[in-house]
Order: sequence, then C-alpha cells, then structure tokens
Amino acid sequence: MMSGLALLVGLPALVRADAPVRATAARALAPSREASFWTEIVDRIEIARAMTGRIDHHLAEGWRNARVEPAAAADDAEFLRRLYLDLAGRVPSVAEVRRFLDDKRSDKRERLIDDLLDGPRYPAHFSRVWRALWLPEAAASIQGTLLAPGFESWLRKHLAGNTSYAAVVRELLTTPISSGRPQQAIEESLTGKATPIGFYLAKEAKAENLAAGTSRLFLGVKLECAQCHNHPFADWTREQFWGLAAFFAGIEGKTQNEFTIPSPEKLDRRSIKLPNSETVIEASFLDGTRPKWQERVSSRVTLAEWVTAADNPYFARATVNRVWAYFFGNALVEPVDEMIGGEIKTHHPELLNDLARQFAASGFDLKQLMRAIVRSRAYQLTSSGKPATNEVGLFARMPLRGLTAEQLYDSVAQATGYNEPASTIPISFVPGAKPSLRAEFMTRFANASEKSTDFHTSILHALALMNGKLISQATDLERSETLAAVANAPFMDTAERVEVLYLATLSRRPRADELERMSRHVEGAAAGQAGTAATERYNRALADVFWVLLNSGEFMLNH
Amino acid sequence: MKTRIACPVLLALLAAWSLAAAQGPGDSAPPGAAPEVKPGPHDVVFLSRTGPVVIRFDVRADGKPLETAWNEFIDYLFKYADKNGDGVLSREEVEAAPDPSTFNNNIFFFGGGFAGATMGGVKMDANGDGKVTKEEYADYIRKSGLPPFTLHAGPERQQGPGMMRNPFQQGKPATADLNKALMKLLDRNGDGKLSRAELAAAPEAFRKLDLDEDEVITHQEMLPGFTPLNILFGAVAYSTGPQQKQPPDNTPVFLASSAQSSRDLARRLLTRYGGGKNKKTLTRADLGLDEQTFARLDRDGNGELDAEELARLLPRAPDVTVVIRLGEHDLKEPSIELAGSKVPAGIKVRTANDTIILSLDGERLAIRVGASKSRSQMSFFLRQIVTAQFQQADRDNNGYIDEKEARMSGFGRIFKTLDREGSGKVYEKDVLAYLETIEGFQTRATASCVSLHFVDSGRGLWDLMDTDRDGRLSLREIKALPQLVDELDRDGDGAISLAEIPHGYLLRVEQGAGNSGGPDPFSALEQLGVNAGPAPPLGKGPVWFQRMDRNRDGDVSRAEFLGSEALFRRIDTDGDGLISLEEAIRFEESLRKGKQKR
Repeated sequence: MMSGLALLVGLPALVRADAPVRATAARALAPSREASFWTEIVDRIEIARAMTGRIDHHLAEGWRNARVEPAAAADDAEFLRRLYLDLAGRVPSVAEVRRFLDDKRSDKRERLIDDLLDGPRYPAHFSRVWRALWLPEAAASIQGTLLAPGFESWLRKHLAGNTSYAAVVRELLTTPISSGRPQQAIEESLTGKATPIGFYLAKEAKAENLAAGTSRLFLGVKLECAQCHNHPFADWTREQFWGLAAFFAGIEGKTQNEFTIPSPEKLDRRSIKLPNSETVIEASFLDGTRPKWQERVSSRVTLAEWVTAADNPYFARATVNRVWAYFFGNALVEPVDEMIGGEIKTHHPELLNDLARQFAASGFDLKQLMRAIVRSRAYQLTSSGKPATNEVGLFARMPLRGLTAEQLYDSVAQATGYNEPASTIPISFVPGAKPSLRAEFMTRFANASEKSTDFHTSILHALALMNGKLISQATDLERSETLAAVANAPFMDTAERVEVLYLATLSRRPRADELERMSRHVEGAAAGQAGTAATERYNRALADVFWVLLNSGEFMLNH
Repeated sequence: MKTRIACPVLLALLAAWSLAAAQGPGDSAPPGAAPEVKPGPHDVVFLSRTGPVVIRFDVRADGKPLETAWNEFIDYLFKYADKNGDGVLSREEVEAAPDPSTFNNNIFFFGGGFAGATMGGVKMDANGDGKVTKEEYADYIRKSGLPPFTLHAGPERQQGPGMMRNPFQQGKPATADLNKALMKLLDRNGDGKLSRAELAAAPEAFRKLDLDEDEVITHQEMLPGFTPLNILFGAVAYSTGPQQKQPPDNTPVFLASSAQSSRDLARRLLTRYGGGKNKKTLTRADLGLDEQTFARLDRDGNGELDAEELARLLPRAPDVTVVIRLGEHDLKEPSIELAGSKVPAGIKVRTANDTIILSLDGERLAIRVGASKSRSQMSFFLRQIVTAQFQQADRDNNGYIDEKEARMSGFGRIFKTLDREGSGKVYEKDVLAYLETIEGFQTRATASCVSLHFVDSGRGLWDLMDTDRDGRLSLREIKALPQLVDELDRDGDGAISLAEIPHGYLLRVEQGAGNSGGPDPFSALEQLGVNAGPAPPLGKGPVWFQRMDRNRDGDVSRAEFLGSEALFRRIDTDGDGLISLEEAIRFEESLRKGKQKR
C-alpha cells in the first residue's frame, strides 16, 4: 500500500508537459457550424480512445503481474443492461433490447455508448447521482427537500451541455450569496429553475460545513476529524481545516425552524476565528501555499480557482477516483472521500495518475472520462463465474453491484410501464395530497449510502419491492401496462409473451429451458378450462411469471 | 409532523382564491363570457384580416342536439330544488337551491359557495311574484354562467388594485422565447430559416430535450427554467382598491348573438377594418365583402357603410359550418368535421389530427375539440380538504356543526343547503354527501354545456407545430413538420422563415361552460404532478394498443411497441413509424378474419 500523498509527486509537471490529444482528420472540413461540430465529436472520440488505451494497458499489466486470468467478455445482453443501468439509471426498454441484440454491426457497443451519453437520460440520471452526493441533506430536511429540484435542474443544465466539470465546481463554489435569495431560491427551485444555492443553505451557511464538504467532495480529503483538535497520527492539522474554512468565512447565516437565512457575504474576509478561542486562522490552501488575493473579490473565488486548476494535486484525481468507483463498485483509492492518509487502499496508482492527467488535459470533460471507462475491456468483462482470491483491486471481473433506490424504482417503472408524473412540489406541503409511489419508495431508502458492492440496502429494496404497492400494481393485469398489453396482444403466442416479459425485466431472451418451463406453467394453468375461466387462469399464470422475474436476483442487481 | 408547517399557507391561498372566484360571473366574467344565447345553431364571427367570416357550429352532446341535452339538465336541477314537487320553487326552496357557480367551477367550497335568490345581480324570481317557474329558473341558470353555448374570448384582465394575482395562474412561455429556442434547436445552418431537411431532422433534435423519454416535448423541456405556475410563497397580491375599468372587447372573434347591440357590432367592425384611423365609415375593400352583400347593406348607395349600415351585417348565412360531436358518440364518426364542401374563395380548409384549419391570407384559424377532463384524482384531494375544513369548523368537537359554528366558518352560507332535513345539525357525512351531489351536477353541467375558448397565439412556431394544441409536441406532430414547408413557403425557397408564419388563432371546443371563475388550482397542482397518478388509457382501440401507448398520445411508436420490428412494420401500413388507432383496428380485424378463414 502506498501513501496517497506520494502518488501526487510529479502530477502537476505531467499535466503541463502533456498537450491534449487532438485529432486532425476532421480539421480539413470547412469551418462552418456543422464542420466544427463534427471536428469536436471526432476530437472527443479520439481522446476517449486514448484514455481507454491507457486503462486497458495498465490493467492488463496488473493481470500479468498477478498471474490472473481476466473473466470472459460480457455478452451483448449483459453489457447492454449494465450500460443502461450505469448511464441511464434504468434497464433498457423491450424495443431497445431487441434493437441492440438484433444489430449486426461490429461497432454497436461504441454506438450505444455514444447514443446514451448524448441522449436525454444521461443528464437526467446523473443530475440525481451528483445531487445525492453533493446535497445529501435533501433527504433529511425540509429546506433540503425544497431546494433539491432546483439543484438537480442546475446540474442537469450543465450535464446536458457537457460543461467542464471544473467550471461546474467553480460555479458552485462562487455562486453569489445574498440575504434575499433563500425564499427566491425555494420558489425557483419548486418550479424547476436552476440554482446551486441549495449547497450553501443545506450546509447551514456555516464555513466549517462548507469546508468539510468541499474538501471531501472535490479533493478526496476528509478534514472533519481535524475540526476540533489535532490527532497524533492524522495527516491534517486543525489549522489546515480552519485555514480552508476561512475561505468561507464571509458567509454567515441564521438557521430557524430548519430554514437557513444567510447574511450578505463579506467579500474581503480572509480569516476565521477558531471556535471558543481568540486564535485567528488565515485562509490557506491544503498544500500549504498562500492565496493571492484580489481586491473586492470573494475569498471563495480564489479558493475555486485553486481547487479547479489543472495542476491542483487533488481535484482531478478525486474526480476520476469517484467516477471509477461509480462504474466498477470499487475505487482505485479507497475510501473515495479520504484518499490521503489513514488506512487507504490503493490499486493501480499509475492508472489513476494517468487518467487524472488526461482528464485535466481534456478540460475536465466528464463524458470523455465516462466514455473511456465504459469502452474499456475491464468494464466489458462478465460478472459471472467465481472470482479468484487475489482478484480484488485488479478489476479482472465485473463485481455484482446493488441498485440504488432510484435505479430500482426507474427499472421497475420501465419494465412494467408504470408511468407516474414526477412532481416538483413536495407533497407534504399540499393538504390531502397523496405521496407518489416514487416519493414513498425514495423516502424509505433516503439514507442508504453504502457501497454498491455491498448488498445490504439492495436486499431491503428487494423486500420492499416484493411486499410493496409498486410490484403488486405492476403485476396486476388491470394496472400493469406491459402485462396487460402482452396478455391482450392477439398477435403473440405464449412463447412470445414470455419472451417479452424476459426482455422487459432481465433485458435478455429466455434460454430454451427457461422458455419451455415458463410456457408450460402458463399454458398448464389454463389446461382443462374453457372460456373466461381459461383466460383468467392463463393471465394469472402470466402475471406469476412477471412477478418471479421482477423479484429475481438477476433483476435486482447490476451484473 | 414538521412537514405540515406550510399546509395552512396553501389552504389560506386556496381559500383567498376561492373567495375571489365566488364573486360570481356577473361580477368578474370578461365581456362575452356569458352571453345570452338563443336556441338553435350557434354562429361565431371571425374578423379575419381580409373580412368577416361566419362560422356555424352544429353541436351534438351525447348524440343529441345541444339544446335538448341542456333542457334535460335544467329539468334535473329543477327537480332537485323543487323539494315538494309542486312545479314551482318557493322562497325556502330557492334559499336551499345549490349555487350554480359551483357546477361550473372546479373550485368548491372554500369560503362557501352560496345558495340564494340572487347571483351576480341576476334574480331567480325575475317577475317578483314570490315563486320561481322552470322558465325563470332556466333563465337564471343561463345567466349564471351556464348557458348551453359560451365563447371565452374577452380581453386579458389587467393587474391592479382590486385584482388578485392568482397563485394558480397557469402561464405559457412567450411566443418570442419559443420561436428563439425552436430556431436555435432546428436551424442547423443558422440561416434564419427552417428547410425541409432541417425539419425532417427534428425528431432527433427534439429527442435530446426529452428528459423523461416519453417522446413528448413539453414547454419546460423546450425552455428549461420556464415556470408554468405562480405558486406558493409570496404569490398573492391582493388589495381592495377600486376596480379598474376593463378595456372594450376587441378580440377578433365573437358570438353572432352577442353582438345584439348594433352599436357594438359596428364598433368592432370599425376598429378592426378602419386601419386604426378612427374612421366612421368602411368601404367594400375595407371589409372584403362581395358586391351583392355590400349593395344590400349600403342603403344610401354612397359606396360607404356607416355605423347604422354596418350593424345590419348580421345575421347572415354562414361561410363555413362545423359539426362537433361531444360525449358519447359512434367512434366511426369524427368528433369534428366540416359540413358540406363549399367554402368561400380566399379560404383554404384542411383537416388534420382532429383539427379543422382555415387558412386565410396571412392568418390561420384552427378549430379543434379539446380533451375531456377527468376529475377522478382531484375528487380524493377535494374530500381531504373538505373534511379538514369540517373538523376546523366543529369547534366544540361534538361531531357536527350547528348554525353558529357554520356562521363562524366557511359553511355559513350553505348551511341550509347542507341541512336537507332541517335538523339544525350538519354532520361530516352531510358535507361529503353534498359534495357528491355537487359533483353529480358538475358532471351533468359539463355534459350539457359547451364552451369555445379563443386563443390568439401570434406568429408562433410552437403553436404551428402543436397541431392538437395540447401544449405538447408529440412524435406525430414532430414527424409532420416538413409538411409546414408545403403549407407556408410563400417565397418558394423550400424553407420557412418567421416572416412566413401566419398569425395563428385557435378556437378550442370543450364540454362544460368553461371555468369562469379563473384558473383552476386543482388542475394546476395536477399539472405539477401532485396527486396526478398515472394517466389512464385513452379508451379507444384494442387493449394492447391502449396499453402500449404509454405516453397516451394516441399512437404506438417503435419505442413503445413490445413486439418485433417485423411485426411493427406489418401493422404500420403507411410506414410513418407510428401505429395509429386506425392501423391497430385494421390489423386486429385482419387477424380475426384470418382466423375465421382458417
């Protein structure tokens, strides 16, 4: 195991030395609006290809050194389902599965990756993923609940436009704070207006909360332990924690009845007093460098410039590490919030540095990073088979991952056709309003924040599903769109109906033995009956098949 | 529960809103909202740029002529009010009669709708003889905002003292903003025009905006950050200053029967065709009239029509007759169609997506039947609120409210109506039973009255694309965009520019007299997804078709279809990438015939 700090040596120099990978082929096109559009696309694909090359290279070397045989490649259906869950946050529709499985083109996987990243579902899904990470308070307080829609809207806008990740973080860290904004922000948020103000209000406009959140989320550094006093073996001192908090010292607020009302920001405040002490700590960066202040410019602007600079020693690594963990269940440096000091586990340090360097060089292009990861050989390995004991950290097999509450809900909704309009109004503010099934489901799992490779929460999800309204409605012939459509389609025989239920839930065609068994169950139920009784029994048996598939481990997990 | 903190805020807003709404149509309805209508076909005058066009509406409700349906509704209402069945309403019966404004309004109860002999200045007992006959009652209902046929086309209400900025006002984005966003999205070469190829590429361009992947684009998806509603905090501004005088109604559409004042008809014509010069007379060219009609009107033969002569323009034979079928009717008969094939020169008529479009020089009037509204979800919501109000009113907590408690709450004015047995006690069950009765009246009122809603949408691209005018762009509408070039490309360059877009107007025909009390908070909340629940199937066509049509746009797209691609192609006989209702029915019939043959 290596110290995370040691891995940082030389990274800034590498960033400067390496010019971005550029494609030249499309430059020959005339500089029209369309030509520049295509040039950009080709450039991005080339950069992603280069990044994928680095991933494959480093991991193959790891497998060789460890004498581990990587798992076989995932088949098309396994890959398709995994990619949809990861990029779109739901299983693919029946039509999407059919189209992909029947596609004979050799580059269909790359095409699907591009299609999903450029489609509407990517910003919709990842705005929730990032919001859950950056604004976890949304589930815990009224104010957080009210501010979440606007915050997601703000993220969605940037994700849809593929704004540089650095620019998004910069905007978050420098968004203006004024006393009139909370009420306006809540009104705007409820009606879907994009605003990142929730980050500050949910953290009670307190410098220490904002500093802790900033360092954990954007630098992969957990400073909270140093907030109260110095620990003998800790990597961070109390002065370092409050030195970072001092950048937020201009922000103050009062919290009443769970609502935070900030005062107008004091732009020139560059230091902070330690709690219960007369000691004043000057703002300083985590790497010990002193800020260069600009007159009448908020300290937060100076901090944001340092955090998001291409040569910041933490920012790119922390982001790559977090994104990697999202797709593989395990990070390159564990834990993701605490990449330096303590009991960290590091896998493929050179790969993390390499990717961080290329990520910075790409202008912090999140889509490129994701594209590179999902195109890699490791991402496209199967999860089936028994892992070897020394495989941990080698990424030689895709681990089984639990679904988040949202992935599970959206997948059930997709599979069954349950289509409930989403409300931006928290229903508890409307007398007599019924919570939507989605809201009910999310509330139950609001605080689930475990690693996706641990299934504890997923098992709870599964239990909730099996006993919950969602599944009972979804497998009710009257209420389930998919089931009702399939049962009443005169152009389908039993085998075709069973196939549709497999495509809808498990995103694959049934194997011959499964098809035979399920068809027998359905047709057998109606045997010896006639007329309405036969139809009723037949349909009930079809609903049984659907219920079994929706509650199977294969549906509940990302594999 | 701490999350209940703000409930009173919303309740107060709803109550405040309803008090304003309960002023009644006589106080607040815009001019033309509740005109007196004589039985018979209903003529609407459209003052097009090139001259007046008379459109006759031949309306059938549940397969009956509209007047028959309306008279049956009056019979039902009168029977309910006439408790002793003596054929006339006594003073007590009049006082306990339900308030007609609650039949015409999705808001109910807040602040107390009231029964009574006078409504918005209209007396039930018109001749003052102490009893109300069925004829008097019918006239009272007609004048209380429930005539069989109504046009909502008044001028925009002005904000100001005495007005309420309604917290549930539903907004629509500005035409200019939509035009700008649509051009940015579709005009790929940035030349300020939309070519056939650019419009053909629209499905892919719109797909990127479709955040919920339902293959339907909403205003919010088109304009992220657009706020469709004025809601909650700080949304109400209400003061009690004097009412501002309303401007004269100059909308270019009105009921022929509403122009009973000859002076008003002449004023409208002079305003519209006088070229803004405050003219006192109009020539034949100004009005675009044929020689014969002009000669008939020009009594003094001076070649110009003055106010007196202009007033005789009506009645005149219709230029276009539109048949409307609402409620229950044979699905093989369209809900809207043109009667006869003759239309005057200068007017082009086409029918698309259940819409009749009249194209005139630089103008385009679309007439369509609006979607029927379901109250099933909101019914639950309403019961919760009414129950809460009852519990609040029952101050001594003895399970009923007496007259004193009623007076101190919003139930005061309907106490007699609620207390049908005259026991002096009103229980929660009485309130809920009355709510059910009112809902029954609402259902009948909706089925027996028809309203036309006029919308001036300016030179808007969105409205041109949104042919069914439901505020959303469906896949079928998006796929049909290249046809706009055929229709609108006046300079023949194979593309349409904003200058070529005609001025658009819409006449939406709906069941019910329309919501004369203002915006409807329930539909507003429903629009925001509160209590909305999944949309029910459209109820037309084979079950598989209805269930596969997940976005309820009336078509099954490739993405929605659950069968194979080969099967999709077999059913989609016109190859437009959408299975229509007709294609689904035809396919199912062919399967049935195939089985029969075997």
